[in-house]
Amino acid sequence: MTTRALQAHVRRSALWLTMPPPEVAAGADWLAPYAHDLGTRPEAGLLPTRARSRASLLTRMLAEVGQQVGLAEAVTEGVVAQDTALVFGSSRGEFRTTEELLAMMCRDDGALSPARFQASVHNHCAGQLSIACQHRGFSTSLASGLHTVAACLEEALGLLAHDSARVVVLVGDEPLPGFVSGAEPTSPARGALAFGLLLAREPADRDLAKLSLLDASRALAEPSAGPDPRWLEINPCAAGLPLLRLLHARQAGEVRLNAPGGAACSVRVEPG
Amino acid sequence: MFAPAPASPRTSILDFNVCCALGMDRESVQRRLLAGESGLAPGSRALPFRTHTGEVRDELAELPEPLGAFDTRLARLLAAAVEPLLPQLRARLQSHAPERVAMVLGSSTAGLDRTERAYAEWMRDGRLPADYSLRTQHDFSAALAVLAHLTGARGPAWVVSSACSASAQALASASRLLRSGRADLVIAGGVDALCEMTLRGFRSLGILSEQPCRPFSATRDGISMGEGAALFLLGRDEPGCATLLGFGESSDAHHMTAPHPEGRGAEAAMRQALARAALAPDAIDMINAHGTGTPLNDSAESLAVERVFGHDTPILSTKGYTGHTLGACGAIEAALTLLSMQAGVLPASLGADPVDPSLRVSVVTAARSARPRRALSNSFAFGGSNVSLVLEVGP
Repeated sequence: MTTRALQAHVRRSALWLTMPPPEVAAGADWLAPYAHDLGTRPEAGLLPTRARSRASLLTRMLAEVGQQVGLAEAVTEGVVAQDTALVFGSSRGEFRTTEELLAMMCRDDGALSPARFQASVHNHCAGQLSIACQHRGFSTSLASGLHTVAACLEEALGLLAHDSARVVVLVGDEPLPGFVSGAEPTSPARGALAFGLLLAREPADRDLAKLSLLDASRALAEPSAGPDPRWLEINPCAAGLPLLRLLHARQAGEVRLNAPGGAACSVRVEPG
Repeated sequence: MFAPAPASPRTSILDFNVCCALGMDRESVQRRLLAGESGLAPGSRALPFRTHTGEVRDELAELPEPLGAFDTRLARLLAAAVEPLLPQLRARLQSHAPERVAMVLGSSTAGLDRTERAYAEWMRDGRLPADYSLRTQHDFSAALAVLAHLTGARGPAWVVSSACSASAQALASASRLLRSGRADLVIAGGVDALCEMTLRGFRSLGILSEQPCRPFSATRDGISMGEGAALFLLGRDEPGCATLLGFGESSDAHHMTAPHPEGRGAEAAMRQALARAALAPDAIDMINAHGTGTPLNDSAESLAVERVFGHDTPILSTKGYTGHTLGACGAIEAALTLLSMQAGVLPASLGADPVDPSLRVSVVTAARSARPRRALSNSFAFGGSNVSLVLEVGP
């Protein structure tokens, strides 16, 4: 069987985040076009009205960046369902919805809302977008703490190598519930972030970039850029920001996708 | 630039272990499975409703001292499941770099039971317990940290959390890692612990049975919940005790909690698994159904099985033995399927008798000797995720 390199062509990227203005201004100007005030909720037009009205911030963010990278079009572009795969990632998933359920359990007879229970599963957004886009192919939902972004890219590149012509990667985390973060509503610790990538096996005109996975011996060496620990403290999915910055700026480079301490995962970015 | 090894569609199962309501090791589990002994019993938690659960009633050993901060029921189940695999793993790490040994787990609850208790204390006292840690007890990644410490694996690692298809997806994901050359060995499987939220949640959906679940039965009325862990040591191109021949993964695109009524997504997953295994349907000797005991799942799954396999392939559900172990069920039931095949027995589908006459499939209602060599195992999930695995034992 033919060997395929673990690589992808980036057709589109999207980013949506909420950060207090000082955080955006402090040396991260490139984020300004993507940043929104704390408390803002994305449009998430891909979701049907009823699902959108009930959706968590996480589900809305993932749906929003999914729409921005052309998820619906990518699904219909495929000849068969498996042509387009969906990879979702979130380090903590629908934890704020889970908090609602924890509160219900402490009240009265502890009965739960069935609607909120089904919305608390980690793959809730995956299911909603599968229904919205009528996607019947492969879909997965991953979690790996500070290595969630790396895990999603690894899985996506593996799918492109052998199974799928296109992979949509949607990764995000919403702010932690107050009972665990202890953070005030206006604290930077309340920041939300999600990003999306439309990846393809074959190159095309107007690709943003080509990504190539670096093997372990190269990945262990210090890359040119890695996740900023300050951002990771706020949101684990910020591990994707170095990659997104290169895509935004159409620059070449090598970036690490996860924090030190785990199996190194780095990619080389070559602008299209 | 990274280039994967030549692709091999078959994944070697070098070793495996399972812990569930039937027992804490393969031998105990196999003995009770073949004897037709259910692990379901009245739930031990104080709840305002009746239910039966597949609770692991054996005492779970404490984690070793360095992992004290990670101590949760889920972590203890995982540690119990991996222990018999450690001698072989440590031997293999003599010739494989730790960075070439990956870990992929499936789980739906992670450390939620610990968070439930911590939250209750926070509500009562205004502060979380001093020994509660989000990162080491609640997060999905905590299980990976525990497994890494116990095994020495340092390769790519993630948790699949696609509800009830999670650990079946984990096995498929592991196969992809091997095929792409990113890992030489993968520790893959699933783990989930009982927690109050899931019991109450399924109750709120009206699909939690008060009696032991009865998959495929004319009187089935819902699920029984369970817990446990199953882990597999997977390799590439070397002989093992079994083989993962293929897998299929699809989405229903229908409803968040109900399956496609005609089982179209399930059918797609089964057909894809067979195609990847390069097998015709009549090469399958037994089907381990998802078989939850809900009216909708068992009907939809039966329709799909009938279209793919016809009426005669033996089908059974093991959830009458273990309960529905949620994210762990794909891996646990793959293990139970292998144990059945290794023993040359088709175990009874507990609770199925009398079988719903509208289901036109061949449900195994009494254990019988057979020589099943190849099996297909289904796992279907909230959100419409469907996974089918094709497994083979023997030469």
